[in-house]
Amino acid sequence: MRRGQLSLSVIEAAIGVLLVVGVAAGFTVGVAPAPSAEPQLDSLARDTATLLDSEPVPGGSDAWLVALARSSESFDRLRPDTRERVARALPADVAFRITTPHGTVGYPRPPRTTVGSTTVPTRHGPITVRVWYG
Amino acid sequence: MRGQTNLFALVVALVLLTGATVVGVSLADGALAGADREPVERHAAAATADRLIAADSPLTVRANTLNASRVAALNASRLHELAPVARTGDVRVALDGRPVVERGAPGGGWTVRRSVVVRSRAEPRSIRVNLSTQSTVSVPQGVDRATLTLASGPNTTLRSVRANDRVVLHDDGGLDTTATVHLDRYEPTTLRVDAGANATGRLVVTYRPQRVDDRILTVTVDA
Amino acid sequence: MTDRALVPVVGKVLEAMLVLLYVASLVTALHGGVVPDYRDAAAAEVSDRTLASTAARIEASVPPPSDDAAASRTVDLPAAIDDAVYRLRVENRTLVLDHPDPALSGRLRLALSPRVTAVEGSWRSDEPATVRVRGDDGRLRVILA
Repeated sequence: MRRGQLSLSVIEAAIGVLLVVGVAAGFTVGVAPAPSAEPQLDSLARDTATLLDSEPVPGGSDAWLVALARSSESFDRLRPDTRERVARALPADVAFRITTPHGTVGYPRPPRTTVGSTTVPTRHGPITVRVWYG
Repeated sequence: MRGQTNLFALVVALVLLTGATVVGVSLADGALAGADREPVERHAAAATADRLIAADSPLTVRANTLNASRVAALNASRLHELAPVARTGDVRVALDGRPVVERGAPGGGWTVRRSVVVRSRAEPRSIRVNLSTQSTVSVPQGVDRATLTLASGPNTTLRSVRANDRVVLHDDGGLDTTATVHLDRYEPTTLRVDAGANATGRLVVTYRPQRVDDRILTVTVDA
Repeated sequence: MTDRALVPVVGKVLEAMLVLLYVASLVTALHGGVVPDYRDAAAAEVSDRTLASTAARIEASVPPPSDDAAASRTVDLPAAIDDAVYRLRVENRTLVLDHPDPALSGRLRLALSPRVTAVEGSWRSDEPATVRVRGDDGRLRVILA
């Protein structure tokens, strides 16, 4: 009988400790949510679009961004250069995917990561640049 | 005796509870202390980067394209004029890791990264042309001036030099000089010496090609 | 015999009283010492965050040089910090958060393009807030309304 009552108090103590530690853990999770990486990624996506918009296609004089959207042929022709150019422009730990009316260039997007993006409307259709860490 | 053992267990339980509360309080303390001043640092770094690479920034030729010489002339007070946000705290602006300007020594803080290109002028390049075989020289795009040295051979009078059909040097008595001409930066330029079919002489064109490098601009603010 | 029946009851009552005393003193100690500090720290954090995100929103509403679209954006403000209504106003290109508790007020210098010639206006936290950008390309005015 003595043993029975002792273990009951110990159980109560254990429950109390768990309760307090649980509330404390709630503090650590709730008070300081990690700052969202999104504004930083959005800025990098905008930088990519700006750089492509301000440069001519290699070996030509058309604006790169417009040429990507203009037609399937120009998109296919520019695809490898675009991939290389954007990979050079972005930091090494940032991956990208550019979506145009004629196709996409870049890496496959992982399903659950935070993504920064920007969309540029062009005469031939919108171009969306998405970037993420990975 | 049973009552006493019960009391003892209760005291132990309360001591454990106190211990758990102390742990909880110190965890909460740590969490709150870690979130100090962060939003202000983040804003300062992001806003400074935006101002530095904006199209209307004195450092840029257009958005995200920096002029290397203007970047090199950046110092802490100029930075404060351009981006007065980070008034308190330490700031560092770097290109590909190499510091461009620093105020104080930011330890941790918040770092913002942007993609830019830096435009500079590369080493001078000279092209020598024998006028009896060739009378044109091509200068690539991005060059806004070139130095021409003309030496005419016997029985030859070189009267004018054109850049893309615009006359840039002219002397009816014959050109035998070194001169610097201004070119249109937005197009490749073809320099042509107006000389007859039997002209002899030498033309040397010296220019500094434009160089464009991809860089990552980082701004670190530690408040 | 009554003694033996009484001792467990008295023992339990004693335990219960002890626990109540303990909890009461713990709660008092926390509320007296630790909780007000945490409340202040959390409110200061909200104040900082509001200032920074509002400043970023204002700066982002200025269009780039080539666009001359007049912009009008709504801004989400927390209605109160530490249960008190506050004001946001601009003074000399600096965003100022005025709160009844001076520890929760703050200032943040806005990083605006030189094309912006004037920033004016103020917001109350319990009213809808918009930022308007007016003017042509050379001279822009940012208005908090």
